[in-house]
Amino acid sequence: MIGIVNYGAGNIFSLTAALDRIGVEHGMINTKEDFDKYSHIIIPGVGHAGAAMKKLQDTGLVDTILSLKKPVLGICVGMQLMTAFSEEGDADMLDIFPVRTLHFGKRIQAKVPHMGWNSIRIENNSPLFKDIPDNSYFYFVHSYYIERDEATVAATCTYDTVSFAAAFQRDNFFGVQFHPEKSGKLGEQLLLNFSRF
Amino acid sequence: MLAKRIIPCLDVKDGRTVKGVNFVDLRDAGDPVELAWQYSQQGADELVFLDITATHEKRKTTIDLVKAVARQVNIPFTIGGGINEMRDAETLLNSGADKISINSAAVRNPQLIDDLAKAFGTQFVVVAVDTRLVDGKNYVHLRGGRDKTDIETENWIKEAESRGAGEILLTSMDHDGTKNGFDNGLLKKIK
Repeated sequence: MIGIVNYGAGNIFSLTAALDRIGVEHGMINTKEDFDKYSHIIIPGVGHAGAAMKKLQDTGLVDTILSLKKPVLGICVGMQLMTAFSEEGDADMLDIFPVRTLHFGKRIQAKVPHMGWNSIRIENNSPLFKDIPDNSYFYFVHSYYIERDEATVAATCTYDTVSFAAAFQRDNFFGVQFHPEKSGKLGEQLLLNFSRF
Repeated sequence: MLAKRIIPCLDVKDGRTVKGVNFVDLRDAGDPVELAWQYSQQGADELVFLDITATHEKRKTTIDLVKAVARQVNIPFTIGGGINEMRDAETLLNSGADKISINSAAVRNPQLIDDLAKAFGTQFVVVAVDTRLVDGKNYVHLRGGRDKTDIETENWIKEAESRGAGEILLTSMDHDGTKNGFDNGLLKKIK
């Protein structure tokens, strides 16, 4: 059963609907004790990364998240929270992955946000992408991207001249920059893979 | 590589999908949620729903449609129709919509584009523009094409973009439902 960290950053209707479609039970995490009820944890998030980090800190759940041994999946801004630092709000993040979240704006010519279906290259045989073909398309909406680190990258995406981490994994921590809950059948497959990890 | 998107656009009237020609002679085309699911199975990249009868009183019908679509469909979608203020947009976002489309409200109050983009990001804001050729020039039309304005389409699109519209949903009333293809002349000018 998947627990969704409820810290007030963005709507989660689409995520819970996707979990319902694949038949995975879920509930909300509001307190430290709630973590014990679930085998898997998702940290969602949309909007401003700096503001989202502040909200997460206000819940008092950060230390518990850092100590988790259960599988944890960050989605979009939820993934960015797992990095060391974000240029959005120049804010320190959870530092689970020693990489930075950077702004597309000054670095590329193409339109920002990066929005739409983009193909990814699967790396390091990540279990997240079991039964998902290489170069599959996923749905992205973001203005900030995460640096690619050879050791942790699980999938790479290229937009304009930048190749960034579309997914990463270290031990029990996973993150995806795209929205699996909006990425059709393959997105649902990824959520199913995570729930079975 | 970023893919080109194919986006079916469904006009919804009183909870049913309708199709017309040049914005009139509407006929029933089925249940929007069922159609949405079919389109998604056939490979559509996104969907757009325009509730052409949405009013303040019927707000709940639109919200119910958004929730039903979000439950059943696994691709992004836009909802439009009767969105006049920030609160309308926020309710639809929380009901599962990925983007909102505004049309008449943006022309009446262009600041709404800035406000929505600032609060929810430009990716959330689609400005729909209904255009018709009058004496050789394209003009913006409102209220489902019933009212011609004096605003030239090209100028309005530039303004909407500069205010924070992430995307423009451009409908040529002259081509709508005629099966004669897109208005490529106009598209070329705007692009």
